Amino acid sequence: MSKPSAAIGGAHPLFYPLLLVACAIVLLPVFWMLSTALKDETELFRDPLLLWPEKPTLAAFRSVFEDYPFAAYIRNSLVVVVCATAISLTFSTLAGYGLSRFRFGGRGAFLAFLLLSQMFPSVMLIIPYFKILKSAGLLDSRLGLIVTYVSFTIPFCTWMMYGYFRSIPVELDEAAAIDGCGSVRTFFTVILPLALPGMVATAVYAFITGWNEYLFALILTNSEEQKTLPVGIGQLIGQYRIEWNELMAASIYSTIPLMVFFLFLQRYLISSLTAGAVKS
Amino acid sequence: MATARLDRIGKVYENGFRAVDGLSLDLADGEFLVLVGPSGCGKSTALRMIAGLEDISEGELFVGDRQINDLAPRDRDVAMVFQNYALYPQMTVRQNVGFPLKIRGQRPHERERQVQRAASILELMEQLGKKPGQLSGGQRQRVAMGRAIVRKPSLFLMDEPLSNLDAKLRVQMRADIAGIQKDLGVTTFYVTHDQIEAMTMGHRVAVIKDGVLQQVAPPEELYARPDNVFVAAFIGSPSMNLCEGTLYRATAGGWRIALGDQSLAVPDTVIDTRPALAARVDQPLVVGFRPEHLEDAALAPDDLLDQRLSVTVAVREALGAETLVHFPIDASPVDSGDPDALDALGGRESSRCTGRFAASTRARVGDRIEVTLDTSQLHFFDRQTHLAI
Amino acid sequence: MSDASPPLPPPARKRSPAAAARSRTGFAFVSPAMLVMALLVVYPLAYGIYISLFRTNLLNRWDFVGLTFFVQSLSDPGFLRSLFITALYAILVVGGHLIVGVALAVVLATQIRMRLLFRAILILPWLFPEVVVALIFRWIFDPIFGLLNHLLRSVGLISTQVAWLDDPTWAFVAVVGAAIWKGYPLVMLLALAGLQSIPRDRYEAAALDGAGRFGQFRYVSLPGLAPILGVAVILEFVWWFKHFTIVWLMTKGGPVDATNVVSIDIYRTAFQSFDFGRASAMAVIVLFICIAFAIAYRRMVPDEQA
Repeated sequence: MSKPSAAIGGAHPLFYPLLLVACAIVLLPVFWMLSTALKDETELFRDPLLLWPEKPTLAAFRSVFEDYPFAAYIRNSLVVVVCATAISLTFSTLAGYGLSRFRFGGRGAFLAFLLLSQMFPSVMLIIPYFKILKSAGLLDSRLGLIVTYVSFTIPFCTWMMYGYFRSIPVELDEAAAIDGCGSVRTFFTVILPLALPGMVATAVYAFITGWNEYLFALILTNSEEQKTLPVGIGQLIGQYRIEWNELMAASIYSTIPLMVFFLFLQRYLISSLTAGAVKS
Repeated sequence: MATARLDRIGKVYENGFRAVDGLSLDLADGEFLVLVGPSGCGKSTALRMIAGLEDISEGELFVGDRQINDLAPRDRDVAMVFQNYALYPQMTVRQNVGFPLKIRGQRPHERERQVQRAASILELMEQLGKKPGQLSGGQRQRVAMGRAIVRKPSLFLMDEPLSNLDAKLRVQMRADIAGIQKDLGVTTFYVTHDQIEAMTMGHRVAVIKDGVLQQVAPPEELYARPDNVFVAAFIGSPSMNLCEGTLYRATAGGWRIALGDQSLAVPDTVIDTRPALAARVDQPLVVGFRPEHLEDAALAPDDLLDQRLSVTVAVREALGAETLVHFPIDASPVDSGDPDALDALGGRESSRCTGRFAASTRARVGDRIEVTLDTSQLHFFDRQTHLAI
Repeated sequence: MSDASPPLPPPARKRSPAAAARSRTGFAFVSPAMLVMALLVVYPLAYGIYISLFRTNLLNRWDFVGLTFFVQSLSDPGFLRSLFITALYAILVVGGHLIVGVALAVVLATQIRMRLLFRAILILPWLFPEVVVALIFRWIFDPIFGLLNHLLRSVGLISTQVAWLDDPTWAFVAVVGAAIWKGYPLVMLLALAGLQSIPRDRYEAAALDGAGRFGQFRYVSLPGLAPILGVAVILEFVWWFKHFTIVWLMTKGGPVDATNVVSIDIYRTAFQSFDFGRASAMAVIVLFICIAFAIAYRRMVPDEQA
């Protein structure tokens, strides 16, 4: 992180209390989630409330797999999101490079469309997708979900890669051209290695988007075998008596991959997110 | 090794802007030609057209006997050193320098030999394993050169390679580059905005303004016989002094020049060697004289008795080996057309003049002194066209 | 400079072969993505608009009604109300993000001890899936076993259990609060990056001119942040205008339509009433609103290029 510089005079004494309050507000729900997940049934619905279980147990973490096809949910999410991310990343990297280096008919329109597509309400596309997948026999299938997820990650990923490629100086392409490289060789040998950080960041954002996605998965799947994690978790709330501890355990499971990503990649993520933003 | 020829090369953009207009140049094999001019004059654009990085809108480009307008950069057999070096950050120095050879399919063994050769010429032997991020500016510049020379191309193109280096390094690199070019004998186009680089490095120098060639000649000739006011003012540091003056016949015979309210004698040889001047008597002209042709009269009291100006010193810069003295004279100023030139010292009625005096001069700011001007060294230009007479 | 030169070369050609080849290459790089998007985005979009012109159940009933649903929706007080609720929701949420995000960014951009630790903690909400956020907060707001009631009762602020999510006003506040909690880190990160890209000498100049801490914020930080935040605001507003998950899982649009954001309205029309044509029309209207907002915003703040 570069050196801080938001104002002269260093930290105001009020800053620390403010930060502590903010952290408390952030951590309180997290703490409560953890605490709930560690309770067993008897401690869950206690009055007065137990802030922390007297007998913390991992029972909920186990039973969530027994009572629901949780493993299937996780598997589905993983398969769908990884595939969609890989496909989107490939196409969007190529397109981002083309957009940043070349002028061609329709370029402006394409860029405008990329931006515009961020404005589409998901609800707008869900009805046609429902019908289209139904007609193609792809409802309630991972393949159908992959196709769907690609459709909304590709515009965003292309935009991100475009921004990232713009930060790689064109002079490198020129030097490669003079050194004897054709376009393809220039892309793969010279530019692509430099784009890896951007690709990682884009892939992670695409993954996070797909992993979190709820509405499309809700509508486009209906058998337990095909549901994704968010849908699976969401429906735990439908019952009369909600097993909150299992719910929280499931929530923790679904958050872990993202935490892991963030832990290892925070530098990339933050810098590429902000690099693109600052440049524009 | 090849000759190069630009035949009325031009670059026009979609909005109609002309970056380069009718540029024609002929390079001999092994010649070092410098393209110089103020920022934005089109010199880099011209270079990029030669490289193939910009399309040529008009005219034809030849290397040897081949017209290469439509060839891709990699088929033109040119090598380029970029202003920002454009080194591949993820590759080591060795890989950077060897890259053009790798693309052309040379075996690693042969490649390494060439890389070693280039590295030894450029004193990069210790840096071969490092990446560009670990090198200093000067080292990076040499790596960029290494990548260019390793291929033995027909043409070297250099786009202001020294402008990102600090002053001392620049002086040293100027000599290095000139030396390498001489040893290798490769025809070279060198672009810069620094006229000192142009004068010290080039066999010939081409001065460009607003996309149009002003004059192309060896440095000494550009200095001594500029074709127009722009070249006269651009070449030489400190710049040539320019103002309006009128040539007239003295009542007692002989020629005199009026600069503002002062008048100096002019030797007959000046008029005799410039026949066109005779027709311009009594008309206002642009007159130029170089700072080294001015001297503090107090240091040479018996010289040039009738070629004196009476001036008040405005600014004094003691450089050690000499002293620069700036003063206004009461003659109308001339706009040389150089966008980077300084404004008039005193206002719109007077011209700013600079003299290079010997270091022993006693002139101080505010002093009213006599200055000798060697009028045999005067330059004359037409007031309208700015062309030399 | 000879005068007896051959006639001038022909005027500049429209496009040299090299430029044409480059154009083709660029197109080649872009075409896979373009193709995919044409199939997966443009086609469904067009189809969606097509559906909005029919009264249909997507199976066997396709009655062409033209713009009927558009007219009906735009004059339906229920739909208009949901648009209003949604707009209010988006404004409050994005506003909350801006205030919280910028404030925290300003704090984090100064020399605080354990800056990185604080930053890591403050980014956490962003990592939680929306589903999880919705559920955690629903559990916290639970009337009987919720943490909120428990805490408020133990400090004596309330005496009985409050059913937050059953009260129209408080339910709205709750979903706004959850959304702010979830989404502020993104704005915070952007603001942080923006602040760090402002050269320190501007602050020094302001300090010399007499600006105190707040003055520096107002005259240096805010203007410096404006470009980045501008783009962020557009995207954020549109994103939260079309938001579904958190509101649905917390309140399902209730109580009594108090939090009936337009996405929920459309969802129910389509997948509970099976009135797909009307739902599509409503979605198209939302689309136009989002586009109009983006365009209007870009007009108002023309100095940035996205």
